[in-house]
Amino acid sequence: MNNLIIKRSQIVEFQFTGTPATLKRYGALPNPQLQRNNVILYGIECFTAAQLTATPTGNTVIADADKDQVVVTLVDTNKDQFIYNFPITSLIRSDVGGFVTLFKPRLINLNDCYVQLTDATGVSQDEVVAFNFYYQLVGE
Amino acid sequence: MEKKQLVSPLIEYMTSKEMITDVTTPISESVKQVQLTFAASGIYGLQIWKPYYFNPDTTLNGSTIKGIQAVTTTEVNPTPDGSSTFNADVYAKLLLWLVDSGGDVVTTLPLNQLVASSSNTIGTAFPKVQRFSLKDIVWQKCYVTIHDTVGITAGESLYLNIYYNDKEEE
Repeated sequence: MNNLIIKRSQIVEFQFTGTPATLKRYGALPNPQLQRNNVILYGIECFTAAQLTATPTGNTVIADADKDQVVVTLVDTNKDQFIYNFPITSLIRSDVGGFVTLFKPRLINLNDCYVQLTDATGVSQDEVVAFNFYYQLVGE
Repeated sequence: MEKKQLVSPLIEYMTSKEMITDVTTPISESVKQVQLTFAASGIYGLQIWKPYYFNPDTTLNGSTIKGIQAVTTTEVNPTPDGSSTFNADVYAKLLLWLVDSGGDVVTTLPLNQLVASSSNTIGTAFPKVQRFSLKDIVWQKCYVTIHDTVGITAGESLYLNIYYNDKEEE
């Protein structure tokens, strides 16, 4: 059984700005280190308040009870939506046998990634979904 | 004829790049404990969002960090100096920031993810330590932040197992 080795990681937040709405696309908050298109993503993990109560920017993370209402789409530098409408529950380590979800390594385009709510019930304005992106830089 | 295990090229590539490892392989050659005890006031006084820096550690500074485990009351309580460790629930309120010699934050992790006996567990019988491959960490630049001090008492300690390989042995 293989699992991930952390070489570099950054917490990425997707914030429900305004009144949370179903199927609206919520992009990532600014993250200069990951927005230079030189980031090779090979693993990802999602956090609810059960794993992280507040993010480094002080935002409240969504409640664990709401995790089945969010899907995520990840886009690479070729504009390929290589992860499309993926339930975040499948990215929470404690829900998938203790494993971090691994990908074939690829250049991530964070600016085009987004999350959507399939049901906005219980989700409050300005709450965030937090992910840890596990990556290495091009040339490392 | 010798039997050879079939390994997909992708697994082989990610293994060679130290992106993944078999969870049953040895973690490191050495392990040591790092402790950070919180106080009612002063440098280690409990306060949200304050960076609590670790003490310089000449052993770890020259080494490759291969794994980190946040130790809870389940594994050891009290610590060798007599202070209490945290229970697993408290770790969701703490973040660990690892910084390299250039001052870059290499990784930011909720300490909850480094607890080998809760969310980071395969089933209940196979707790595992989170693996790392970090060669340039300067321990006195690394720090911890707390988002919420509820449930944390002065005198309690953050207690980490750091699995490492000496630089000379790499």
